[in-house]
Amino acid sequence: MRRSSPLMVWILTLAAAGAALAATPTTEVTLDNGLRVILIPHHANPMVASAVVVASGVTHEPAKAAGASHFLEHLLFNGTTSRSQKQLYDDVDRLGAYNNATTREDHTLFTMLAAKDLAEKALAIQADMLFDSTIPAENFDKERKIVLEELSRDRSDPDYDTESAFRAFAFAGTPIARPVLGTEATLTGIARADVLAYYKDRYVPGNMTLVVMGDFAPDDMLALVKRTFGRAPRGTSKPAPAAAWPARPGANLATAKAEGSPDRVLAAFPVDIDPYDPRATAISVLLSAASEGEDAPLRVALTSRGVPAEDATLSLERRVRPLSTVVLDARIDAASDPAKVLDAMAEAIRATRAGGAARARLARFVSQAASDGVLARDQILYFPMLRSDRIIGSPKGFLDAEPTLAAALPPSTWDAAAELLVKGLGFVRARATGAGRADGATRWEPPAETALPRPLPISSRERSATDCGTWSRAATTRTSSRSTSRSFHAPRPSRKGKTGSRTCCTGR
Amino acid sequence: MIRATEVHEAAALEARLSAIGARIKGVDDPSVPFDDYYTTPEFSWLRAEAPATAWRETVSLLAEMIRFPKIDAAGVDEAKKTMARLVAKRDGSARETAAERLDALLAPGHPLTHRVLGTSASVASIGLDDLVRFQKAFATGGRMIVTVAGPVATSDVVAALSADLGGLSAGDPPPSAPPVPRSAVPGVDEATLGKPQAAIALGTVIEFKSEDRPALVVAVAMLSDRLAFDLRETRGLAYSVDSTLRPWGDAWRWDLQMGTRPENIAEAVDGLRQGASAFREAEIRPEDVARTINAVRGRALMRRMTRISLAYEAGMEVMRGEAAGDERRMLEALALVSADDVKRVASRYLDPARLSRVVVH
Repeated sequence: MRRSSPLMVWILTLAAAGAALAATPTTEVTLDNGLRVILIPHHANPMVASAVVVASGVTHEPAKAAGASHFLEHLLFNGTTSRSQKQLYDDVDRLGAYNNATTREDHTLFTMLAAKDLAEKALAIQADMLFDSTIPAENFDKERKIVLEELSRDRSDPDYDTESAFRAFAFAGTPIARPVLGTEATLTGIARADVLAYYKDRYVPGNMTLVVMGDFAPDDMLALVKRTFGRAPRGTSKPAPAAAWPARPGANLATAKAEGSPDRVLAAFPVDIDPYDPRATAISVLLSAASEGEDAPLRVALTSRGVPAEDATLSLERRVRPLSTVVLDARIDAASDPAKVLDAMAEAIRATRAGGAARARLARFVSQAASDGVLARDQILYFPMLRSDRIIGSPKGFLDAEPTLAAALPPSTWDAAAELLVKGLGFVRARATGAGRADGATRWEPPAETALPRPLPISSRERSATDCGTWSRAATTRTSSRSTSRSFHAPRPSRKGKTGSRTCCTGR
Repeated sequence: MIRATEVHEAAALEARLSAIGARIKGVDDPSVPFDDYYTTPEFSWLRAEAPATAWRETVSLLAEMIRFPKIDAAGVDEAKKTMARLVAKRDGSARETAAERLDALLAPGHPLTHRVLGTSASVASIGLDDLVRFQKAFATGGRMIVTVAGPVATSDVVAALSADLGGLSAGDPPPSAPPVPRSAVPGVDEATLGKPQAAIALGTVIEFKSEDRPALVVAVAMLSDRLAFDLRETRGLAYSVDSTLRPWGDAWRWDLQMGTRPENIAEAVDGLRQGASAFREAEIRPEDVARTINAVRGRALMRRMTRISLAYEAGMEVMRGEAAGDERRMLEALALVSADDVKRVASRYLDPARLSRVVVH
């Protein structure tokens, strides 16, 4: 008998801290054809997940072909030299496998999940798509229409245009100013020959990293990978086109009228750092300490300036060097002054330095990051998805160390990370939107620092104590998954700053 | 955002949860695509994840949030602002609007059709006293289901829950929801939001014999694949199109949904209807059934790989009055479904003439 509504369902899940980490040393090799392979045994389920990170994103596209990487990702589900599109889909279904892909700014990620005894067939299909797709001419315009539908869907959310306009302003002069999906104009203008040439250029083993995670013995899986992905010809792997940040515009705070959208300030500044650099980990945690929670320095700074601080976050968007950025995303009320929001951001950023209010909150966010790392590592499909922004070019052993990296950082790394953040304040570009805002632009400079840091709220002085104390406590995460009767969608790592990411469910 | 309790200020509670590596989630994240699984008229929920080493304190903190929330005027005002923003976003969504209007066509006035997020007016009218009363009436033992998954002894968990939540009053039993109407004449509704993409929602309430459920699950999955291959992969009319079967009150819902650009609406609606009609007449090949069963089972098993998913599934089974393991047994029963079964249930239950239709453009 069905229990009637309303009803509170309370769900508690407990993960075994540390167990997954201790038992799963990774194997890393580079095949003769240039493919980097990372194998991570994980025996919780009789499943294998295969994730391929391809260096193919807007950072690699010619400007006139904006959206080509995402369009190509779709087209790779349309058939190969040995499979029609229907055969491709049917073969995946026959295995009961999950096959999908996501395009982000500097890479495309392909994921496949299958029962371990079907792993070879699943990886063979994935390799077939990546290396032997035909980009059938008869499917090209159909797939273009699907991508245009996807763009229409996204544009139905007012946030999409707000975020696209922000990116165009804040990242002007760099490839990431362009939207991952492209625009109606660029998508309409892309020819099959352009996409084919791009495919041949980018989809070579040397531009890829294969991460296999699941229930296998490393030697057996390596042999399997060689039989499937190892057969691809080496090809020529080319680096991404060089990118650089132009000088900050004189008027770096733009305002724009946006009907039907809540008032919002988006701001960004570049951080010249590799996405796998330990300082990037430190920056992520410092930004959490600066912006998350009731007593966060950002919230305190906003409130002290009379800005209602309902929803404001700071985060690091990791991309290939030099395109990583810190992003502020603040929902404000119509009466609030965007310059005050930026002033508050500057105060919060400065509070990440030694002795600052954010540093005093650090221990708990280190603990949280460690916990997040353990939970992420416990989910074989999601782990590469959640870490794909820092895999390309990362040193050997990075994925092994990453979940507990924050807990192991020395004080000097936190100091260096904080200094990078403070330095970035000189390069801020921001855009404020709302129904009552007028189009325009003005100059914003970070305010002069006050001599004394703002006093900490009492609750911030809790046990965290120091920013160089004993962090080697339990590790942790912030990933989530869910089981529902509806279709599956992977969670994004975080809402923060994902103004350009594309989570695309091309497969079924 | 974590809010204060009578024991902890919000900041202190957040700090403690972070320090032990625990996460508690109580609302969907509107910035995550399709993170709408828990914004449902059927239940409210809290979800906690923590390292096993911290399970006991996590239970205590969660119980504290349920039993002793600090509900004050400032917190209510802040929550109302957040709610107003969510309502505005929902009101601007073609997909959400189409789903709501279809619900209203199928079961006018039924509690399942009430807006979970409310309306701008209803949110504005909620006062402090209302919320205090609501908390007292609803945070009771008789309305609560707790499911736990993880490496902790059952007896320890039961002891902890007894200690921390055993003091809750049983409260009044949940009111019985009225039955969902079965014989509604198919309705049609349309709305204009002026969005770049229109939403099409077709659906009907169905009843079937419980022994037919596995075959119906397979039939709907096959129909969904065929619609996707025709409307998306052949004609390029949609980014997402599917057919679903789901429980709805004391009955079930069969739905077809699709997003498409406004210029495609007529072709899309026709394609959905034609596709559903053609499926009833089509040859059902055993190899297609076998493939679909593998796909359905694979997706279901994928969703059961994590502890949080297992806990969710167990909670849903209890709430729906099913025995523990019923969902797993249903998946096993799929293996017995034949092509004849699929043909029979498609013909008997999946009648496109019964579908109500909503288009929001």
